[in-house]
Amino acid sequence: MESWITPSSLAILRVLVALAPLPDLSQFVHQLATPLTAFPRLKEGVFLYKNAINPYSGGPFRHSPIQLLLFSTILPTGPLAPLLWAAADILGAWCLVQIFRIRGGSIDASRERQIALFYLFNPYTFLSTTALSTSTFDNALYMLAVLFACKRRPAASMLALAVLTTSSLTSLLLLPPLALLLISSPKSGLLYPQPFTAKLQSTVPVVARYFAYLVALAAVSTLVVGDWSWVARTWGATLTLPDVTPNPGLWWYFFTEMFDHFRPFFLMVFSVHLIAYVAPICLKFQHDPLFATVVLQGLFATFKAYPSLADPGLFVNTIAIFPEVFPYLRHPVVTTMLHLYSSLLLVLFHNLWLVQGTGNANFYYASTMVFGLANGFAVTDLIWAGLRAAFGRIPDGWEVTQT
Amino acid sequence: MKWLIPVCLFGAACAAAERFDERLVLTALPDGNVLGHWTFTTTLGHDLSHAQHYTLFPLGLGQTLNVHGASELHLALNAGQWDYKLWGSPPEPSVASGAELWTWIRASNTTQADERWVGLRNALAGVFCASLGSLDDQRTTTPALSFKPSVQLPLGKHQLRHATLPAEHVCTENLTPFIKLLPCKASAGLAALLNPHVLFSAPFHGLSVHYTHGVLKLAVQAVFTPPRQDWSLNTLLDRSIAAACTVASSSILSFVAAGTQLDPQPSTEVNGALQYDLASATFPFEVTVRHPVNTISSHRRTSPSVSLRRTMTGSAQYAGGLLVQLENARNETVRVSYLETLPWFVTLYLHTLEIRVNDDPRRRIDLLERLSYVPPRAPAPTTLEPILRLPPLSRVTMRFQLERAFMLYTQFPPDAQRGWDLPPAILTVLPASTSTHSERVYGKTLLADLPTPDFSMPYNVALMTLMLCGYWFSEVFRIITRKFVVEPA
Repeated sequence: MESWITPSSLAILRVLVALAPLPDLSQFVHQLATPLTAFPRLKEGVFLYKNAINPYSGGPFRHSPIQLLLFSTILPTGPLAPLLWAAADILGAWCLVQIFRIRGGSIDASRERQIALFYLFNPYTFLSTTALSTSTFDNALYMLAVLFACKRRPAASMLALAVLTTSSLTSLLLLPPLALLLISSPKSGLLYPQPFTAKLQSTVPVVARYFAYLVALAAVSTLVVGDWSWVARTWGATLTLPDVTPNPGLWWYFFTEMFDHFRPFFLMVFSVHLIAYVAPICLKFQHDPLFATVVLQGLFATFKAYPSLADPGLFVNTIAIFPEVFPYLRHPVVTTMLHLYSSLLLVLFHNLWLVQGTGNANFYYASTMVFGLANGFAVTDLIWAGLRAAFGRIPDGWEVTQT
Repeated sequence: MKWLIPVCLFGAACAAAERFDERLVLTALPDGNVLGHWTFTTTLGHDLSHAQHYTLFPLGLGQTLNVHGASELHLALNAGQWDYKLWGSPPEPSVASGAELWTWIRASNTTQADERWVGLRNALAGVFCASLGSLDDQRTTTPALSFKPSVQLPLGKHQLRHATLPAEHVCTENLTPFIKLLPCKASAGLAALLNPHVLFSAPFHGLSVHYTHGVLKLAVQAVFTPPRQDWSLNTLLDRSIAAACTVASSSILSFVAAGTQLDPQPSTEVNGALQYDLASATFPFEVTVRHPVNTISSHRRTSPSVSLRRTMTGSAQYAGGLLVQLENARNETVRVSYLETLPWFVTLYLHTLEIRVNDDPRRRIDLLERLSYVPPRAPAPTTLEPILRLPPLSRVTMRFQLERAFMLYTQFPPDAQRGWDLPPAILTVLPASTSTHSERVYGKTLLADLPTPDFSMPYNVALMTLMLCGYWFSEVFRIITRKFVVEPA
């Protein structure tokens, strides 16, 4: 019965779904897209650019100049756009299946089927793709960067990461774990941790390559736009949060209610908070840098400046490649239930506040708190399971705890 | 001391060149109201930058305009809604509700123009007791097409600044300094008829100040509701003129209402308007208007050929649409320039523009001749100026999608739930040839309801968010730093 469900047939199904007329998802716009990824803003920027108005001189456009260049020349924004987005999703799913194969070393058809199914039809990422949010491309580029790192191809991996950084500045913090992954092995080190043997000096050319690509892309962006106005409007948005449009994240309401006097300080605190996770996680999971990458991506999805549902969606999709830790998760049901509960609440309270007018902003803020709780549970449970997996099965009557 | 003689002669010559004219036109409107239009014109005879020895020209205003390099200035303070269909084209075209100030400033670059603009509006705020200082970055635009200078500007580079404040009220504290700018104040001449009680309870009332190259025109226009069908100056305005203004070169009271009986008899009739010359009148001066039995005479003023209607559509607080309807009543194609200056928190999506004619479902982007667009960049507003070609006798509809921004706690005014005023749209009928004047039609101000955060919660929000972040931070670091032990369950 299950033999027809292969990753390829799922891809075809995904394309068919993309072509089908779906209901208007514009009422979910604040969950599925952010000011950095929303499709109407992309269309507006392309329109202004084509009419010789600098889209970064004002207005709602905050996409990267690379996306502006691509969408104003070769990529479609009209009726063919859903196909392009579905293709990006399929690419991400394919990358994830390849990563799973490289990590596992052998082909496990049923698991691959599940991985492809979850990536293509996970509501978080599926609905984001249907809403034509460019976070789909961010996710696909992330998967490409990780896949090339697993295949020990530093040039391709760093190029993918550099392109990803032009649209999502937080991805810069994924450089350390990916660099470690490039110089070591993607194979599972969780069950039998080995000390880190590769020389750290060999990351220097990798890092240098990344920054060279980034500088080149920045130069191309400046050529496309004509001046440096794009830096403040795209990367500056992640650092200074000029647009406090609601999203499932934690930053927007905090900085809405923040007095002007404290704003710079707390912007610095929230950014440093993200940076603070990188070194400890990389150090602790040096025996399995792929795991460290996924854990860090999960933390960034929870705490970054402009998250949408696609970011925790990507995290949930990628934990599927670690089946060895699933028996050691302490509260998977609680996490799943919290995710289900908070995703429904997000939609409901958003509607009550902004469409019906019977609720207020606190309702939606509370649902983002619960969503943050759900994401935090998911990440910390994964970290615990990743460390606990090294102990393996413990005889009855004993348990593994922390002092 | 011989040098004093030429100086005195020069001063006398300058003073002799100054001239003050006043005029009041009362028009009976078709709906029974009476339109009163006062104009007080002081002509300097030379440019302001010459010797500032004025006799009739108000010194405070002259100094203000000179210091800030305003070569042309138009200020209007209005309240009420001007009905273009019933009352026709207003004698003073700026009928936007609230305050509107536009000026051509002589400046060599944008920075100097901005500095002079700040100084000018703050000085005018002091002169007229209006909060014109609030016409700041959030409300100032530089439209490219709609506000051309009405006369040739003097030599030098000039820049245009335009700002509106729809929520500004006009009341006695604006009228009093306004009257102080007149030579005779309110004690003699037509300014004596300006009764604040009656003026500010009129359905429409407005004060305007126009300065163009040596000519200062102060105007008051108001639409009064007479208490009875037969009215007099005393019953309509509750004032009478005690004496004539002796420094006025001409002081004329005009009635435009065919078929009425005026008592006393008017001295002249010019173009259907019955005129009284106050220089040769008896004082206290009083005129009574009587309508013949069973008739009401009125004068239908010409309406503008294009009318404008603008609404916001959509029920969600964060997004919606803007619907603009332009009706061309003329039997020929009319070119209009539509000026929309939306504040930064309302973002228009230009790529969603749809233009349709009457009930035709086809999109008529060919009617759009040219589009001048300055995108909003907080705090600067959007400046959108399309030039449209309206087909004869048609209704052209423009539709945009828009998004309303979420603002910070500190950016909201004290009455945040009232909403934000969107300045009126200004339609300029572009003249077919250079000889005819361009006509301006003002739309209504709209109220944009922006989503508000909870204003009682700054500490609670900071507390809860930081608690969540801190809790997960500590949880992650607890798991990765503590030692694992295997112990009995």
